[in-house]
Amino acid sequence: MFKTTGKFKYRALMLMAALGLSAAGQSALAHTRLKTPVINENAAAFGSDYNAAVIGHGCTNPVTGAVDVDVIGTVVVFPDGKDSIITVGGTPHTGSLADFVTNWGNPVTKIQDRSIFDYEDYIKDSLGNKLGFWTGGGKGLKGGFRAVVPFATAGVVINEASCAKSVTFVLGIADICQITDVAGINAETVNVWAPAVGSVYDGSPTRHGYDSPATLTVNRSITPLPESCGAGVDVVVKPSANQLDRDLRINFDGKQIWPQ
Amino acid sequence: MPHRLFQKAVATIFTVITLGYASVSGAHDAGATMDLNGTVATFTGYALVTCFDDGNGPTDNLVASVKDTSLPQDNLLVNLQIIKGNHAISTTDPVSGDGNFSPEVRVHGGNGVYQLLVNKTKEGARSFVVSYHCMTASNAHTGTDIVVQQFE
Repeated sequence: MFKTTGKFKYRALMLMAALGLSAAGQSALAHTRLKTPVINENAAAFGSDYNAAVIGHGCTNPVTGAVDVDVIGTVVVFPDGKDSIITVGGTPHTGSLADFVTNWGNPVTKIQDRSIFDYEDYIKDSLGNKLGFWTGGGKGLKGGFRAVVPFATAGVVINEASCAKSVTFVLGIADICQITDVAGINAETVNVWAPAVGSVYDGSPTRHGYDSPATLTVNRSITPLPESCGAGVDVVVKPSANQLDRDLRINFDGKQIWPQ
Repeated sequence: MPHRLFQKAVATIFTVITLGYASVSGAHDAGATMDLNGTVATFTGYALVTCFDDGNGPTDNLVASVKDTSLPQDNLLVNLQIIKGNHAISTTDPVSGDGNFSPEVRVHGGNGVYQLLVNKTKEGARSFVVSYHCMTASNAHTGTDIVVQQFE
């Protein structure tokens, strides 16, 4: 058996304190992001790029201020490419996404996984294309731990006639700690990682994670840039406010569970 | 308490969900019903099929066929077309409701994005199943993804 001396106890406490501080520091930095945020065009082995949303921390504990409140579900949504906000080298683009990507529209397949949450389903458009997914219920994500929520993305084909050297898709993600209505969304109930595009999820600019979304960048890797393009351009695609309001939610069998 | 709320909300309404729109599966069969009200002769389903090397080899061609699963009706048949670049091809299920697919058609367009259309000869509801597969030159199945663009 250990013989616990006063010195040992003191050192142990110091170590625990240091670990605690370290963990808190890491949590504060770890916004929800994709495990692999940069991929190549339609070239991955086995068709899809296997990826995951990494939930870095829970919601804010109102007593301690630590971000260690358990997460009970998460929602992940990709831009639909229909009314999405497109910029080219930072300049708004008024044309369609097809100017840069020829096959966008059914971007994600959830990899079934009940290691953290018991339930999951897709978020689809009116044609049945899978724009995102939600997962929730069950034991959930315990505060202080991280979650890797696996999914695959379909191959993306960049329009060979375009000057796009990369296309970055900006996601909307909500890590839910407490089921509320939209008015009840704050740092203690939900961590929202979404672009600030005027949706009901924008929140205050002072909110933790404001306008700090996860992204998936697809680098051009199949066809060379046309000579006239020079160095090429970087394209960014964000979901519209309308889409986030419509799709960043949990609907189950016709009933909306979150936000209520 | 939040856990229980979520659990209850989900569990109490857990049923098999039936989808009213085009159902796309990973098995590379897609089925749906065109023109439910039987009034739209121009009804067209339009999808993009992306072919890629999933480790089985690069795509040589997209092969597809269509099966009309509705009861036979005079002069009402379902067609399928594949288009890629300068190449296009069409096939028709000649007998509705017999459980057989149309003759297969192929467009040899390599890896990339193929347009796939399904339509019919006149107004009338038609349930159908499309089979679509990206194939290598040695006729092995390779990477196949689909995006539905239109169903009206």
